[in-house]
Amino acid sequence: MIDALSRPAALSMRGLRLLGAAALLAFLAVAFTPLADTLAHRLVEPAPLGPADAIIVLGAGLGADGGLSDQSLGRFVYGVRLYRRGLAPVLVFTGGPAARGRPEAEVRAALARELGVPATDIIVVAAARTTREEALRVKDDLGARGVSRILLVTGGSHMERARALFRRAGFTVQAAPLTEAATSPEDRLDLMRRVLQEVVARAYYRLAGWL
Amino acid sequence: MREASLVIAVLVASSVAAYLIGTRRRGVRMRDVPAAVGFTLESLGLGVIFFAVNVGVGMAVGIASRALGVAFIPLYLIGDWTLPVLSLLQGLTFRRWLASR
Repeated sequence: MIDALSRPAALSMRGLRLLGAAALLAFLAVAFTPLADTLAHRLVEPAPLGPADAIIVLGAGLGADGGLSDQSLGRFVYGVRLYRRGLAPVLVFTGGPAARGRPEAEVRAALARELGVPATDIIVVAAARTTREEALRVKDDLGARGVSRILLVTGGSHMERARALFRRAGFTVQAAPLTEAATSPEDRLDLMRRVLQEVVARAYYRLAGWL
Repeated sequence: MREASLVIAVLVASSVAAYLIGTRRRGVRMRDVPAAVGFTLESLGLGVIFFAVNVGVGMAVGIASRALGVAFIPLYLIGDWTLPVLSLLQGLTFRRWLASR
């Protein structure tokens, strides 16, 4: 096939073959080796958790049915567990407006109340749509209450960017990341997608001067 | 690891079946397999390029729409699984089109 093409075209086809082969190898490495786990764990640094003024559970989106997505539910459960351990007196749920139905933060708050968390201990921050907006809105809502030390709950790959933004907003942050482990090829590909999304998001935030 | 073994075993089995069908019923030759693999890799390479362009354009549109206040488009949408799959189809179609010259 290459023989039938002109020399420049043949060279570009060789380049495409190399690119295709590299993409295929990368795909196989991600799907069938622990590469994604290794990269994800490098983005998280586990640390012991201590008492704080509030637990902030960052948003992760709703499902098509208006319920919490898997990631959102995981963060929610972890946040409630930390609250139950008595690490902070206040539980803050973020999560922006949905295309239909209630915002994610309100869905989480309702679920927390059903699980026995007193309504007086729950704060809803439903207007933020990005991690940066979450940090700024939470600062607006909690700054006046004298909250300065927070436990920040989010996915492991998302933690570094989120922690930097909340520090920049003036909080003393303890990271409480969810471990993102993958055990099947599909899980590993999904984890790598989140890691790459985070790499792009960090680059974008740095370019914008937010980190 | 069990899932990975199963996936690989299924792929090997279907490849062997395709080889037998190709050589015994369709009259294609084993020596043409490298060219077919090359064609696939070229299509995949083009798919990667389409994917990069699609991600870049998608991010630019999302950021511009935010900056201009037109609409808020979550940039996470660019990470949707449909994008690499459709980019791959773009690459395959484009490679096939180039071959028709």
